[in-house]
Amino acid sequence: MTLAGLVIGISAVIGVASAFLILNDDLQENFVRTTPPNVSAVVGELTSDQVQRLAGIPGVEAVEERRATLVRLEIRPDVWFNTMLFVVEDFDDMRIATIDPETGSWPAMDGEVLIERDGRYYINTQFGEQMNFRFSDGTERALTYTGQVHDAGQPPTHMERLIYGYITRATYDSWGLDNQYTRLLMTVTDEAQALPEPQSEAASMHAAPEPDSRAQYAADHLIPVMDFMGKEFVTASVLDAENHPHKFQMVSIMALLTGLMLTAMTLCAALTINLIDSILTAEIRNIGVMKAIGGRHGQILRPYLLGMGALGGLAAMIGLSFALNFGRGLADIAARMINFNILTETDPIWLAPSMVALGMVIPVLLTWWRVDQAIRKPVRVALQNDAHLQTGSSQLHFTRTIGWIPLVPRMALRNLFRSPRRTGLTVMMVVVGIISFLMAANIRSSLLDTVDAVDRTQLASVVARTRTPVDTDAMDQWLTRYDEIESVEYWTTRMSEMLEIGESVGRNQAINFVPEDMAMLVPDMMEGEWLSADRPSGIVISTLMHIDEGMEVGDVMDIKVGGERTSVTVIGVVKEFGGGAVYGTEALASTLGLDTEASNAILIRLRDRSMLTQIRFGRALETAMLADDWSVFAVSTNSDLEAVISGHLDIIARALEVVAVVMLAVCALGLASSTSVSVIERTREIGVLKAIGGRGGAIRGIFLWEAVFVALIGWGIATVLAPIPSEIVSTNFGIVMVQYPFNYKAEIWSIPMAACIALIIAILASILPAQAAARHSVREAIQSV
Amino acid sequence: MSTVIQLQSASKTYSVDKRDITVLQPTDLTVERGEFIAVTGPSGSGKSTLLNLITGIDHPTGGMVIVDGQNFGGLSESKLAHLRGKLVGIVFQFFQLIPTLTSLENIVLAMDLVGAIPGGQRRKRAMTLLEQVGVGEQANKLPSRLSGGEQQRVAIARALANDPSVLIADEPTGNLDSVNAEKVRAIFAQCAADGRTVIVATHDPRGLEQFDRVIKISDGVTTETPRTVVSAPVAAQ
Ligand SMILES: Nc1ncnc2c1ncn2[C@@H]1O[C@H](COP(=O)(O)OP(=O)(O)O)[C@@H](O)[C@H]1O
Ligand SMILES: [Mg+2]
Repeated sequence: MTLAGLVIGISAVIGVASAFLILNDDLQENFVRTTPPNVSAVVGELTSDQVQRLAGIPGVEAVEERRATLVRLEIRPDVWFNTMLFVVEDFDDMRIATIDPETGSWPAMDGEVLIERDGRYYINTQFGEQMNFRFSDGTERALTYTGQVHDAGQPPTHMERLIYGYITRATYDSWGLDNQYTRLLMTVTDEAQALPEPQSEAASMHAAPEPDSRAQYAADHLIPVMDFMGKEFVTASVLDAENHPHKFQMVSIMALLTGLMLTAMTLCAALTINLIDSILTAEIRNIGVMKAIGGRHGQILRPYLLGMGALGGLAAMIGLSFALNFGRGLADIAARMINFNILTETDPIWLAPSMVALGMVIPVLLTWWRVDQAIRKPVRVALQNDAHLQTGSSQLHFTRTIGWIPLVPRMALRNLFRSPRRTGLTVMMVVVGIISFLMAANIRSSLLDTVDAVDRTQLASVVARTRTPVDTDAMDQWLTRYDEIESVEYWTTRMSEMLEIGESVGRNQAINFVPEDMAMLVPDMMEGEWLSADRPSGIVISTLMHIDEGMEVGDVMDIKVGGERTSVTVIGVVKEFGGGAVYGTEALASTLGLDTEASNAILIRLRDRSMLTQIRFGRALETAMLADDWSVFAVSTNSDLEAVISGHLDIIARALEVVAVVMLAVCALGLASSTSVSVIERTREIGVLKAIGGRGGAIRGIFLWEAVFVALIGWGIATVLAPIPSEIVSTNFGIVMVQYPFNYKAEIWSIPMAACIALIIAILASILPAQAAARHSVREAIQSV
Repeated sequence: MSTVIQLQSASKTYSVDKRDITVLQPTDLTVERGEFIAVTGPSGSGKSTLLNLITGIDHPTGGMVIVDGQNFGGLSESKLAHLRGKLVGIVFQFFQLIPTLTSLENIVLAMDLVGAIPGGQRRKRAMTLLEQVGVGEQANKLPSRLSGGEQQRVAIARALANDPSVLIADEPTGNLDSVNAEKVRAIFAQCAADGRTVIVATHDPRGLEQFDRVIKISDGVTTETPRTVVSAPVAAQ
């Protein structure tokens, strides 16, 4: 059993370590291989010659045009999924943000579309079949789906709810869309590479950027260059080309894995200590004898170290293939989550030897420690055999207070104090197991509560967005045809550019200008406060912007909407699911010269808010609005949002349940091994009990009680500690999976349930060892003195 | 007088390295109620083997052991343990008290395990027994706080816990100094005087005069010296 424990412990450590290495290297490698852009910019329409000329900006390495248009793909009749179509100038000569062919044909021909592989879970189209796209103006166009590609530079479809498609320039041009802008991707030279020497003093002011701000410099430089070319400059953003967009998620997964690794390591150590202690129990007299006849420290220690080293090495070799497969499995799951490829084909050469080394070093060190202590015991104590099992009178004093407890459980309780270290280790294992269980339960309830929170905070059942602002009075009039509507609210949403003070390019972000008497959103504030009329220049940002972009309450920045520019202050962070969102007052909209009577977001609350009604109403509304020439481009329902969250819920909940079951199993194993050691240690005592009339049941009872006490103590500690990791993990899991921290909500029922599980584990773990104790031959037991 | 213990050609054979070694030759023995018996012989002669057969701690490889009319051979381990607890009190050479229990608790535990003494009387009875063997003061101390002689007296009190008719002691004085050994022997004599059957194994030929019967054992063969033969020369000294 202890060999099994060692195998599991060592394999878990090595498995997680190898997963760790594979993931860390490969995510970075996947991302860097796509040659991610340092700058993305939107400027007036350029010819390809003009695009290439931009490569002359100091520090710029390459420039490529990559138009993108947001459309919707019909994944099932009348079910539309947001899709980003990228226009690739030349599939065979992509230099920036490259993609790799996976299956189907490559490259895309005119009239064909390639889809990013993570979208495969959503689409129901076979290669060669038509895909129907709906554009923001309501028009629809079809393309032939011919292949699947991997785009390691994009956050995965299943997380962003965004499919990525790739089409040729000719396909795009044939649509004759009304778009006179060019989207550019630029890379800058390595820091190591020297920039051209400045020719003049004037040039030196422009051309000597700090290496780490070369991307910023290139972005800024576009403004005068466009001016010079007589083209419009719209926006430019500096991107992080070093880190995968989901590196944060990756790091969180790593943190979780590290936690698992540490747990595995401690369990491994605890099991090893148990094994050593059980061996020492039988050996302590031999050690005493060896010392009595003049054996020196090293002489006595050596055989034990050799023995344990050999056992650990054996365990490591047995567990090796399991460990490597486990590591690969873990890495695969993580890779699938973030949509990247495992590139590492073979495990590092040093992994196998280091596993064997680790397998030997840990047990040898622990043996050294335990045996050394045993050797240091005076010969007299050692020869007295179970002197280490004597109870001190201080412990007796403590246990006097429990004199009312029946004798057998009282005895079991005192027995726990006979080897406090082992009891401590065992309790720790139980704590780990029970915490895993409680965490799984707490996180599950947090997830459910988060889904509920969407219902509590997002009161609009259906949101319709239009391309051009609609007159709110006219829309009110038009909507009277629907009896099922309870209330309607109008918001104005505009693209803005948010500029850090002193920077000339910033990020593009939609801002929702909401009415003062807003009722469709019940703000659940994470920090700061909601908008108010007293602070017209205040804005509220969503959690994603706070977490991902690092914006804080109190940040002051300029925003630019349709040419108007004004300064705003972040006054609050609102908990919100999904992408980044910014809210401002109607007063702010007026400052920016927007007409708040013309809105482009219509929020509708239905009387019947069942999922089915929402979806039916949403589809009917879109059809009717298109028919009546309202320039609708998207209708979303609240249930879409809930579907996203619950979609992830299952995976997380399942994963946590698996972790909990594994940990509980390990905890049962630990408890069983510690009970076994107790049985071995107390062989003689068991013999005495039987000699004076103790029946099997009574003997089993003592060990059962001991296991029950350990389990209950572990449960108590776990109950106190569990909320801490539960809260951390539920917050981070939320951020990892859906960029939104889950509301932490403890599952009260899990506590009594955990107590039952602890008891069951105690019973299961003590049955076999106690059975063995009851079967001891009395004569042999007493002879073992 | 009635028979409490009966051995009918009971023997014990071990097989070591495929060779059979008979450590107790077929032995017939009848013990009557209230007898005070010594089993004596050199170390390794088979004293413990004989006593273990009588207590049911060990099973004979041949013959039968009958205690209080019960054939120990036909009983399950659990039944045997229970019967032993009720019928036979055992005192070991190394005391064998449970180290986590106080003197009093050790005795109560013996009663709890067997259940022959009503629950309400156990503590009081345990206290009385401790006082009888002269360690009433030590009732609430752990064994590790007691001297060897005190521990052995607690162990005797424990052996008497369930009021057994037979008391078996294997080298009970082997680990004690002569003063304590004398006290312990006196307690056994008192038990025998109270009407219990007491069998004591000892390799020490001293003090055999107080026993009713002395069974000598040598290389697994028992020979009984008639009481008169043993006691006469001692009395003459
Ligand atoms: N488990 C065993 N296997 C083989 N021989 C044994 C075993 N136990 C005891 N013996 C042998 O039986 C003989 C009698 O032992 P024992 O009854 O303990 O003697 P005593 O109590 O008189 O010293 C000894 O020679 C001993 O070596
Ligand atoms: Mg002996």
